[in-house]
Amino acid sequence: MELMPRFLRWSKLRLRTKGLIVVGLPVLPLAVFWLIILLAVFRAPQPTNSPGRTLIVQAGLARVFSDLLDGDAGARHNAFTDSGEAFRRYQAAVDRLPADLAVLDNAVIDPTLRASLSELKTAVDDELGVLARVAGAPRPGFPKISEVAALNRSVANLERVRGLSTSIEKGQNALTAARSEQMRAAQRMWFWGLLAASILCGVGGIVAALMLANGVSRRAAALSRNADRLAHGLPPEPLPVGEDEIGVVDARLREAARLLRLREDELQQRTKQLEAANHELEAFSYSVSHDLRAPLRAIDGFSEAILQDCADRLDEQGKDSLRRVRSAATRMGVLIDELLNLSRLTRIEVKRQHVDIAESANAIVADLARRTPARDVNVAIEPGLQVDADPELVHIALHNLLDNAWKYTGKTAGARIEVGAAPTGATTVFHVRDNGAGFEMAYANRLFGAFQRLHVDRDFEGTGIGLAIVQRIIQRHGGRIWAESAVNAGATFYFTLEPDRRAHA
Amino acid sequence: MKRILLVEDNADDIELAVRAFRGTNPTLEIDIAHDGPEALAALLGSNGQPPPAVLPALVLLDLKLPRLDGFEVLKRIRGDSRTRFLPVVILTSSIEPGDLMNAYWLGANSYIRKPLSFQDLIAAAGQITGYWLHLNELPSRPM
Repeated sequence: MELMPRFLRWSKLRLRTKGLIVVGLPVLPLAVFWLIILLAVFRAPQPTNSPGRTLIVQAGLARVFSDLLDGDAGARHNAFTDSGEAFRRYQAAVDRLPADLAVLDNAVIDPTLRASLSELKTAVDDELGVLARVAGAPRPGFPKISEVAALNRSVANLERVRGLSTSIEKGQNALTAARSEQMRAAQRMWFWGLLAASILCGVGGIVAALMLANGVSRRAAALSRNADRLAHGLPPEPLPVGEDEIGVVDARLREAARLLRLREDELQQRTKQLEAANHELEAFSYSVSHDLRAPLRAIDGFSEAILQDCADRLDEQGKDSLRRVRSAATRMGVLIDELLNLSRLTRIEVKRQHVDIAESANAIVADLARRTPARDVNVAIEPGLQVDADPELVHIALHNLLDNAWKYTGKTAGARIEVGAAPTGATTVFHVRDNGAGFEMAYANRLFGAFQRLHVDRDFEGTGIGLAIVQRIIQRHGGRIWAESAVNAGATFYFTLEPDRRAHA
Repeated sequence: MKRILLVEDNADDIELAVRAFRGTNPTLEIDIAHDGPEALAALLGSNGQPPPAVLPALVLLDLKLPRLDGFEVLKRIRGDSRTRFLPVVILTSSIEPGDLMNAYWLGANSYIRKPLSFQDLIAAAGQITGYWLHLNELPSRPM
């Protein structure tokens, strides 16, 4: 195959070219056939020595000869009887001759035969001269010797014309026979030629179609395998040889795979950086928990020491100031701890398993009730709230939400807290609802920020970290959290614990 | 008279701890080690120092220490036959769950997170000494 020029190699051809070959090859003999027909129809007809022409020649020869015989007979009769009828017979035959000769002249086309024909015409002319002499002789009386000789000459002329006629007829017959044989040979040649061409082109077309189908299906299968491999992150395998449009698609696919690998490498690098940053954060939070708390302990401890050691030298105002120093230190310690909790939530792994939210909520509420026995809160928890999530994290989130609900219904008469769920599409939306202080929706976007508070400490105590923790937990599960509320009309917190299915569709 | 060893690098924490423990046990004798090697020298002796004739009744060990950290110190204490059963209470500011697990895994007897409030520290000191020093007095201790 290497000997073939590049553009003729099957594998180098485009699908378009291959398709044209597959369709065009079997149609080729048909085109040749039609070309022949068209040529036959529109070509100017050429005179040929057909059987019909031979018949005309035969008839023409016979008529000329019969005219001559008629003329001869009329002339002779007239010479001896001088009857008007005989002369008219002679004259009619002489009158017919030119037309009959003209027919012959038209019909004979072979050059050799035409030479004979012209000899024949010469003989006819001579005979006409003889007959004119015989017919035009003076009357009455016995014919002269010269006229008798002329009659003899007429006999010779007739004999001559007869011989020539026979020869022309034979020649014409031979020509027609030869032409028929020639035409039969041509017909045979066309038949076999077209048959061979048809078979050749048909077989060629079938072979080309098979090669095309086979090649296309093999290469398309390889292409689809490569697409599959690409989808699974595997490197593409080589495509069977060829440079057609499938090859172009494959090249694109490979380029896409290369880009994907590049992205993957980038991603891995990012992940590594992120892991490093996480590691750093861990070290940082450890050092925060250790080093930042130490001065706070000292502030609290030494304030206490002053209170103990120098109690007699301090007035009430001084003691109060020291107490404030200590409470500030304590509060700062709590803030640091909560911050650390928050940062740990971003790092720990979410381990999903079956969680009964109702059960968890009941336990939390029982705990809250135990700690504040004076509170009378009507709690309604929908039974059987199930979800796949990290039980520990969900417990922390629920604890914060219920703790908030508990806290913000502290000044509400007939406090009520509800926990429930509603399936929205494919995702279950849980909610925690209270009829407490609520908040202004205008500040809803600040709800989940760390250390963001919508109430002053004097009304409701808090660090402002609880909802930030809840949001972090929800986010770690791929869910969403949002709230609806109005001042003094309670608040409802909605959340999901799985990615929105719609986002993937 | 009871004697305990406090391993702590922070001067403020040392003074506060001493105050807290003296507050609950006025007769308590408190030795101080400021880092890991110093603590090990005080318990097991070192090149220039013979091991003590009498071991302290209790070791209060911080985890984050210069030169040799608390885990390493604890490991060596547990690795020596003389101190294998010495009560060691971890007194640290770390809240990492991993640290707690690790400390118990290495053989700590108790793990106390340094309270932020001095009052809580006094309470913790009372509990620690009340339990561990009292335990030390039991006549039939199988050691």
